[in-house]
Amino acid sequence: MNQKTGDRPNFLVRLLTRLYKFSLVEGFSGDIEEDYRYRRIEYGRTQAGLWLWKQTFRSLAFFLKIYTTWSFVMLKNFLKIAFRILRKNHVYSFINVFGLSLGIASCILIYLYVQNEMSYDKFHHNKESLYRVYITEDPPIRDAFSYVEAPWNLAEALETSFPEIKRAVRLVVRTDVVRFEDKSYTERYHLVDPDFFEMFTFPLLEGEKSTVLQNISSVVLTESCAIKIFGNDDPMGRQLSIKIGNEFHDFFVSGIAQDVPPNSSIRFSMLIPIDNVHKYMSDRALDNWFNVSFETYVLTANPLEDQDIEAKLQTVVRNHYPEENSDMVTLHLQAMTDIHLDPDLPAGFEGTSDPLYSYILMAIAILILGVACVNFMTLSVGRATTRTREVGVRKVLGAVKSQLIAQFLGEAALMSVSALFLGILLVHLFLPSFNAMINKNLFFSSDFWTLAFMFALMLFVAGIAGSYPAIYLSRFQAVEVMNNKSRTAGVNLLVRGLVLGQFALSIGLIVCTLTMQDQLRFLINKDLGFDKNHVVVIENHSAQDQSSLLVERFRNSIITRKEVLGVSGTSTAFARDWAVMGFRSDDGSFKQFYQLTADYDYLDTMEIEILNGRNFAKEFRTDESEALIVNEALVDYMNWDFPIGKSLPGKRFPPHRVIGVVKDFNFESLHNVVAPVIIVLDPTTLLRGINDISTSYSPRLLNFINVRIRPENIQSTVAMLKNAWQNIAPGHPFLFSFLDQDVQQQYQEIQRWGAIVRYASVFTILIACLGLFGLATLTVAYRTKEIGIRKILGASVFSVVFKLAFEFGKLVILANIIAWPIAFFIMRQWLQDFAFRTSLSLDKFLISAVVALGIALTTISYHSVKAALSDPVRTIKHE
Amino acid sequence: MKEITRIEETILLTIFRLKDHAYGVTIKDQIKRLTGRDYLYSTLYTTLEQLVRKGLIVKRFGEPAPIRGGKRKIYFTLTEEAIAALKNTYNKHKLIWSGISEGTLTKSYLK
Repeated sequence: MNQKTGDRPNFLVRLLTRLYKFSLVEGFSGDIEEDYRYRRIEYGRTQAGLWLWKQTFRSLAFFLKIYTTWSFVMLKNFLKIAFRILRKNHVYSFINVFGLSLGIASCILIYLYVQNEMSYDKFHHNKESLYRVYITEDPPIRDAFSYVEAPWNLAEALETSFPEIKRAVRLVVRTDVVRFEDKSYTERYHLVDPDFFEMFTFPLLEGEKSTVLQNISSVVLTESCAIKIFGNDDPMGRQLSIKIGNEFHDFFVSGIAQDVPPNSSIRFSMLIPIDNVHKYMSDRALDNWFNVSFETYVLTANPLEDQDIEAKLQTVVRNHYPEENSDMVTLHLQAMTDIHLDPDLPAGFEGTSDPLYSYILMAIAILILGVACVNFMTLSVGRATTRTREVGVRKVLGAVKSQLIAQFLGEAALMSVSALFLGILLVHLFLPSFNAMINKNLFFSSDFWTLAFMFALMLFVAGIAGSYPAIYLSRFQAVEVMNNKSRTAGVNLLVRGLVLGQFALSIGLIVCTLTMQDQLRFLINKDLGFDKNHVVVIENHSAQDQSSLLVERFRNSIITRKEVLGVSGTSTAFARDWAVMGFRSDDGSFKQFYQLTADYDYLDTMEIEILNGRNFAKEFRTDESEALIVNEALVDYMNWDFPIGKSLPGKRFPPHRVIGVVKDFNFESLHNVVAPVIIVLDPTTLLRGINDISTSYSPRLLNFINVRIRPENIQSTVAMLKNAWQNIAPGHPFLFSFLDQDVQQQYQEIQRWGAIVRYASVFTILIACLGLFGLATLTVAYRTKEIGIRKILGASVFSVVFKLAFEFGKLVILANIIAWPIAFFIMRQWLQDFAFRTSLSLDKFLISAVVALGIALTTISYHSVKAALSDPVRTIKHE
Repeated sequence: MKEITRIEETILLTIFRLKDHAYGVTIKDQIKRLTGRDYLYSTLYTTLEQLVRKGLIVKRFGEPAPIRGGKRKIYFTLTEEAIAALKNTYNKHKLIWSGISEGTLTKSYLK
């Protein structure tokens, strides 16, 4: 045991001992230690320590010099050989590098995506102390649910009740008409508390952040919004009219903010003070604690350590919520930086992402890269047969194992550097279509983390892909190698398994791609119960009392045109939110239905089929207030055997009756079964009887106009509609969409994921082919002699090719057997999401099997034909 | 006859002088005292390593000591070849230096 003499010498001495790799090491380190201790006695601890450090550093330089002098000589040789091999087998090298670069490119793309997802809201200076309030309700009759909008008075209650909460800012988003001089725009604007800019980090280009929203008629625009409205003029102090509720109000530009970064969960282009809320909501509505419209953000004094505050938040609930509800409502805080990727809470005003997508993409990236690395190994080991002699010669000339390992690792590193550059090139190539696919605007920047990531990726690839060939090749025994005895059988089995896995993966992905495409086609082509083609949907943002008048005047102005087949005003349109109403039934149960306010022409315009009873008719004067048209789903829901003439089983409804039943039509996306629907001309009767309503569009207004047009000359028809609209409603923008596109829009997410899976399957097939190519190289090299002997004994070229093809075909068929049940299970799970879905037919599986087999046989044909054609005299003359 | 470099010559002569006490620390001290050059242990040992390989010195282990962190001293002794090499070097030096003294160096070259 050492004497207790201080730890410092030991550490440095150990370092030096490690560096000194020669036989006298014991004397060397002992001497240094001894000398150090003499010096400590003679000159003191500091001086001795200094001396030791000096020894260490100068020795480091010395050792570096003597070691690298020799390594450089070897390195030059290694590099020369590596380049020669790259050049000599340029096809292999290209395949190798290309496979790796595909893997690297997909990794970088997905890294950019994931980094973007993770970076949401991190740009706020006080991000650790920013939270959003969310509310969980746990009513007795249904499961608990949460929402991120809060009542109006909550912000004030929080600010006054808790010293921990320094500030609270409310925020609500509306979309309406904005006028500047004679131009009008439909803009999304935010109503926010004046503290907004003090709380969040959105830099102002003009205006002072504490005062910019103090005045009730001030408006802050983002830079690009200001340019859109004012062009190059100075916007400060200019007047804008913004429609809030039913009237236009004047605002004056008081500040210009920088454009909101793309990774922000608050995305505004126009901000006005929140007190303008009184212009469209009554005080009574604002004081209602169940009127939740406002996202409420709080800034705490310090980042919250634990969830203590949540318990305290309950006091607010107890003090303010109506007593009978206070048990079922709980308040919570969600960290600002968690908003974007929280899978448990619904989106607020801006969309969020499911982190699952990030995980799936990461898994795909790792899989592709892993497979690419495996193929690199296969190909290198496959090539090893031709390099055994090189290894043998090196060993005979005295190369030690570690040198050989270093050589092959170095070659792998060289390959992966080339692959990295090619991969970056591919990233630039793929980025635009990748962006379109994921609906983001990512760009490839060379910031520190991206570079660090790529460097790590490169090291990882070189390490993984290079290690096995390095160890494998360096293990050859010189004598065996020189006698031309190579052993590749063991590797063959391993590689076989890996190729099998890759093909199973590819087949699975092809099945997924086909199924997703099939489902998408099904969703788009399914008969929805109405004719979605050639319908123009026009938004009608006119004021309350004018909406039906405007529809009437618009109808009169265009209905005589031959290109117009029908016009109908409705409270909401397909593929948008429909009002949900609920009432307490006579038997005590709570009934809910979807409600649509329409006019007399609705069913005819949309071509919805009446099964029973009649349509609304002007001859029946009571239809206006008393007639209901329902769908089959509602009849089932109410358990009516003879629906015509029936009334809703609620006490408070004024007299009314069902006059007709329509065939179920899919007004929501096909994820959902058709829900009960009631169509009325005037919702007053229903509104009197219901207890509960949730809606985005007022059911009293005809917010949309549906125009069915002839399929010819659509462009000129739309121009005609625009013209007519501008005559009827000057000052209102003509906002329209085509119904079939609106309906398709609902399946954008599926289209996007379909595309991602399709790309992933193309990538994996490509890479799996590289793997198979490697395996073929290996097998053929291993069996050259066997094939030679077969040929001598009379085998034809065809039979040899067939035999080899059969062998690889077996592998692919085995891959099918593995992939089918897994793909079947996953896709069945995926289809469960849809109420209406296509079947998982066998043909998709067969197609993917045939595709995989075809690709595989094409890949190996080069090798098998080459081997079959080779001259047996050459192949068996060795030995 | 083995050729030796200047540093090898210095070390061999130091080991010769130190007789039985020649090991790393004493060799380094002695060289420093005589020539003023303070070698690194790393440099010293790489040369010693070389001398051992050339067969000019042999090593002999001493006892481990606590002051050395429990490691043994390695003593070095000259071999006959070393003596021969040193003699050879001495004779060469004498030949090269014959007729030259400090005085003549100064007189003939630096005026």
